Amino acid sequence: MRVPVEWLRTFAKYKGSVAALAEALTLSGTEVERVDQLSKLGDGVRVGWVKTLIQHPTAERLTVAKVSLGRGPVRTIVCGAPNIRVHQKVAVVLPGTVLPNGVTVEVREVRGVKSQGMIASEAELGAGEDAAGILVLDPDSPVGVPVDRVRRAGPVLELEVTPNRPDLLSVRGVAREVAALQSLPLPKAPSVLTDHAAVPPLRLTVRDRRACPWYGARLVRGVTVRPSPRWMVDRLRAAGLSPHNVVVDVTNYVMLELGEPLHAFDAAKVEKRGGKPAIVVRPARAGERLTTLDGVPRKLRASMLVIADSKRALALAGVMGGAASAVSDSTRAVVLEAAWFEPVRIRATRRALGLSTDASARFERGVDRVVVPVALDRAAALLAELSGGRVMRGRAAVAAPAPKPVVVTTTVGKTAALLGIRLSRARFSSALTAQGFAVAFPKRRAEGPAQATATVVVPSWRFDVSIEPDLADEVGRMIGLAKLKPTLLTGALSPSRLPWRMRLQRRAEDLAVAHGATQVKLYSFQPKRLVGGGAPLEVRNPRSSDQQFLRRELLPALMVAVRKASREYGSVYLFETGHVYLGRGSALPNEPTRLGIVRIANEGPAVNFRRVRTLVAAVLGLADTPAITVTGGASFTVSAGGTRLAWGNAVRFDPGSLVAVEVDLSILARFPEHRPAFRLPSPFPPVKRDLAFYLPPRQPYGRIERFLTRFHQLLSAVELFDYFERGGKRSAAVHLTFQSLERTLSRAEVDAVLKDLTAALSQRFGVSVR
Amino acid sequence: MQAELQALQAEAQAALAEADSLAALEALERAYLGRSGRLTALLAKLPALSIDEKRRIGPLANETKRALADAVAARRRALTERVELDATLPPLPSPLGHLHPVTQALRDITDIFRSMGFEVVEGTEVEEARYNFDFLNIPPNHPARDLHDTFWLTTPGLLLRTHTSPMQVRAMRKRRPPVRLIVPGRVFRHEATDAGHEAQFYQCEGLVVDQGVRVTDLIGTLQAFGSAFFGERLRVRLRPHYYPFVEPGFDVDMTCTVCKGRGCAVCKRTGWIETLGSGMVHPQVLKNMGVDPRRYTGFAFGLGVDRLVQVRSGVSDIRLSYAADLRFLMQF
Repeated sequence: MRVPVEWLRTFAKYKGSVAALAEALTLSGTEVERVDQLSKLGDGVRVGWVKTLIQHPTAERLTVAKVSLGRGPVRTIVCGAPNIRVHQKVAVVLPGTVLPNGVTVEVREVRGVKSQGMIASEAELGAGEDAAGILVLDPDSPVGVPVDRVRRAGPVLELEVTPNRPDLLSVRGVAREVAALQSLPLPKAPSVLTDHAAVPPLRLTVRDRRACPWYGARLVRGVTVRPSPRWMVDRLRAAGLSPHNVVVDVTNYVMLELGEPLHAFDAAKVEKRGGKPAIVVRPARAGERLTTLDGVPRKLRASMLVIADSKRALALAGVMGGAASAVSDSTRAVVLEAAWFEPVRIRATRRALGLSTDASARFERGVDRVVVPVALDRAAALLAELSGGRVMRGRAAVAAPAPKPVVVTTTVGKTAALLGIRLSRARFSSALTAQGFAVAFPKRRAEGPAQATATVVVPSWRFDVSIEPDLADEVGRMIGLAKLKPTLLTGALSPSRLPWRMRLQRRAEDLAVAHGATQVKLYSFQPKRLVGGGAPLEVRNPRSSDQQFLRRELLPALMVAVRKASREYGSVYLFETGHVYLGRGSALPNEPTRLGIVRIANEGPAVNFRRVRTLVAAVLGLADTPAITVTGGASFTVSAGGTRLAWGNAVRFDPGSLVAVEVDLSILARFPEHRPAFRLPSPFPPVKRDLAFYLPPRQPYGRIERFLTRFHQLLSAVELFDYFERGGKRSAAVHLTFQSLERTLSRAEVDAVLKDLTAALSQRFGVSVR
Repeated sequence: MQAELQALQAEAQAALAEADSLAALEALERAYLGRSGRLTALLAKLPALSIDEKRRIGPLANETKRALADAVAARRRALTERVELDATLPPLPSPLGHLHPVTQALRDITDIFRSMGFEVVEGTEVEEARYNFDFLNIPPNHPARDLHDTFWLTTPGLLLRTHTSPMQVRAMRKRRPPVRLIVPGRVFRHEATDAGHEAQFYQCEGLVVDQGVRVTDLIGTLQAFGSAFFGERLRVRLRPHYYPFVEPGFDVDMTCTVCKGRGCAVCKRTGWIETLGSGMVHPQVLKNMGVDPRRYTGFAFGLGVDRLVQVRSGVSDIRLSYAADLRFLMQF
């Protein structure tokens, strides 16, 4: 919502600075996103007339304009805007002028052409946010005068209005807020016409009173459709609307002023009954067609509401008028309408048609029922005044009884307790009455002042206040939240640890980092080819087909990332911890947390795998699992007691290899946390022997190692210290540690075990010890 | 004799300090401590002394002998272990990887709130519409749904959660007040991405429900958190804001840590950084949790984790976080 401060001041006689006003509004909950201010540029920015326009000799996207500033020589200005045209009136910034963004405009060469100034955009002048092209002024702007005298826009507040405060979608509404904050009297709407009892010159029928509980119309005759006066054009422009003609402008102006959208029909284009234009408010017929003001033919649904005459739909209620009944230059009589439509209906229509307008934005959030007839009268009187017409006596209206005001009861004590402050009854009351609430306390003082029940009547424009905490909100923002002094929570606490699953994830991440891997975070949504095996969950409204499905595995996307990073860094070690999404029909999916690890290195697959395997072993070792077994080869699975904990694969990646492993941390977390149990070290010295052998073809090393570790109770440890593949043969060498808890082992004893071991290896696996 | 011993010790120690080779050291050792060395010769005179003198000189002589032996040993160590070293050489590349900055921030946030007695709860990222919206006082057709640009799944009723708030209701259905909990996690918004917006990002929800919880408790808690997170005392400012699941609702600003509140580009010259939305839990939401709003009040907040990372580490573009860009990640 854009609110010109000058317009605002006609409702609330605020005398302070604009900056202070913006601050006060922001701190009370109406965020001022920006203050646009054109006027302070003064003589440095003048209206120029683009006399000629040629292509820049060397730069394709630039043009060279000869611009007249009235008196003085024609200036040559280089411009890059796509919307510059010959004979436009533009804003010329003269050399030496400092723009609001801090840039000083100077004479300078632009690709070989001397530019004597600059043609500015709205954003560069601080007058708005349009930075895409230059600001094009009215064709009748006088050449050479300062632009701020042509565009008499004083400061304009750009407000962020939240959905709960539709009352702030009007200048008067914002003025109410300002008045409340500054202890000024609440602004009143201009009330003009008093002929409500007269027989109206229009006939009205409302077929759906629930969708349209209030509908009113007036007839203005003798209208001359001409441009609006300067003051109205300036205010509309400053508020961000383009002026059209006096009829359209008046409806827009009153909408901005009072928050009630209005619509004007050409009375000649409305079918008559008994000599009077006859209007019907009814549900659309399914498939009924209406070409809206924007020229788009639309197919309507029965859930939508239309304004019609006896023959056809004239307008889409609450959203947009129809082209056929629109006001044109030849219009002489105008039907003005004002209504209150059920917000949910309007919202549904707007969504179904994808057609959001200033009107729909207000209707669907809620318009003050009380202001609807006031706005109608105001618009009719204003139109008659500005168009040379006259308002025909009598207001046609179909009205359901107005809803009762909302009443909230609370106590000062409760409000104070929720906010955490001390609060007097007087301050409580004044914070609310300043905004238009009515506050009453019981006469007799049976209870203490804080316990007395306050009865608060909510004003008709505040749809967002209905419960006690709403009142605390209203009081808090009026007295100023800065008055609330921070306190700390008190209460009994019981100790707690981070849950084991989260602890496991943290420690796994720390281990990955300690092993040299760097954590990435990739998207949860991926293209189908990167989500892993199985049927993925699908996003109904993806941003692109590359983000259409939810990942079922981390590795596919992680492998793409690691390959990409490898182009710059060669060897790369990455990991990710995150959810994957395994659909379960209509129920919530299973979302295990996974640890994905990928490593590209200039190493053979065996060495690369063993490095990654070291990390995987450390991670799996965080939990107390049954013995870990690995099966498979270039594609492998890691399990514990029949539970699959991890899987992965290795591929060639010139000049080395790529190894990828995915660990299911959620499954791992089902096992208890590993707590080391101390075992007394043997007081007797170990005896160490080495054993080197060739592995038979296709014999997994792991089976031999498992055989060795279980071979004899004195053989306490087996450690592979050398492994290589050459000429099709695989060589392994292990350290064997023999140790007893009871005695020092003799050489002969160890030799005997070793001899048996060698024989068994040969017999069982066909392994010959070197 | 005492004087002789002391003189000999001083002389020998000076000589040992000068010895710059093992050969020279061994020659000195022989000259003083050897079979015919000077100390040995001096000690040979001990038996001739009187008992009194023996008692006095004896310990001193032993002391001198031990001191010289120690000095020889120390010098030998110094000579044998000596290496040439250029101590200005740089360190080798670190063998450590890098933890994602968002992970680091999430851990800090978790640890700080845990120290204030908050429990940590996790939720799923795919959520039911009723928990993401309806139970949080955002019925279908509510204008506030427009504020949440939602990724819907083709499975009816399921969506990618737009905030971590659904866990408020889920967690409370299994708990009784008093409750203090946080929910860190990934959330999704269907919106155009730019330097400050991503389609996926991280939030940390906070929820406190107890008797007599006040707005000032919310301010105090967030101020304590912010000060701990940024490592400096900072102030917190509330601005009323609308969120359907709280009443009153607030946007919370913290003093800009870049310019200390004086105004800079990071805080758009306001001196304040908007960090989160918060408020007092709406009575209807308390009811949806199974909590009696007449007995209990509470506050809730949703921290924007990526925003905190941006401010704390000066990251100019949130999209770097999810691009697997090592030039970015290796700085953390």
